[in-house]
Amino acid sequence: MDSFRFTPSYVEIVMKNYPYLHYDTSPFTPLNKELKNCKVSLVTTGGFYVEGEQKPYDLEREKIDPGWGDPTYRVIPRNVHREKLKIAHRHYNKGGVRKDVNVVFPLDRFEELEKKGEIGLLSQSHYSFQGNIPNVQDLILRFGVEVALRLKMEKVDFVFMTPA
Amino acid sequence: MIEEAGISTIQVSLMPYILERLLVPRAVAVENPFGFTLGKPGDKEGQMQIIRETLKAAITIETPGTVVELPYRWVREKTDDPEWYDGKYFKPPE
Repeated sequence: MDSFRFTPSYVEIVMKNYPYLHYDTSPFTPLNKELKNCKVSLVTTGGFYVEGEQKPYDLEREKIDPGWGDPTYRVIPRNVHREKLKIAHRHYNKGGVRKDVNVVFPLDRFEELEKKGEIGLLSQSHYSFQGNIPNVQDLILRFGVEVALRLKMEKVDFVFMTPA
Repeated sequence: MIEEAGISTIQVSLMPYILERLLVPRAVAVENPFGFTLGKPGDKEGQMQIIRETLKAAITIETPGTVVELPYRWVREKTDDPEWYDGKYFKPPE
């Protein structure tokens, strides 16, 4: 599989020179429930926000400070009017998602899976980040922890994650 | 962090290159362009196929760091919007 088949050269250069954090182990929670009994939530890095209710991600600061990217998140309710779901993200082609949000943020597909009983319950709340976050400190120390705690409080069993 | 909170996760990845460098609990990889993670807009069946196979992988993966490569390769079709490919969203930010 070619990771760089579609990416412009600047993305390949950035990805190949990025100082990845090194981990020897990974946290791992076995899925010991059947999916049809699980409460499921979606987490995406597609840069979604609800127009008129939430602020877009800060794309101005990253223009003048390219080592920085907005690490905050937005809580997206499952019943959000799909046309109010907007995107603030400078590093991917939004043409497909503007036509059909499910390409990156599959709320409708998961509602169908819930209806068919293939998953237990689709959570009320889903979470979006904006995926260009070169400096991950605030993501790791604050915003990622917040989302994990929210999911825990919502008694979510399983999280389906999609990048853009 | 989410796994540490006791919640299982799986991610769909467009860039297994990164997964070789980071260690994530569970992942599947598909060869789609950025912004087209689950395939083409309007293709409900195609999206659902990737989702179902990802859920299947979530059940079967037992070792942290496992990446399951799904057999999907993006195929360019005449009906595709040329804007998806023209690269104007992909110019290096000024």
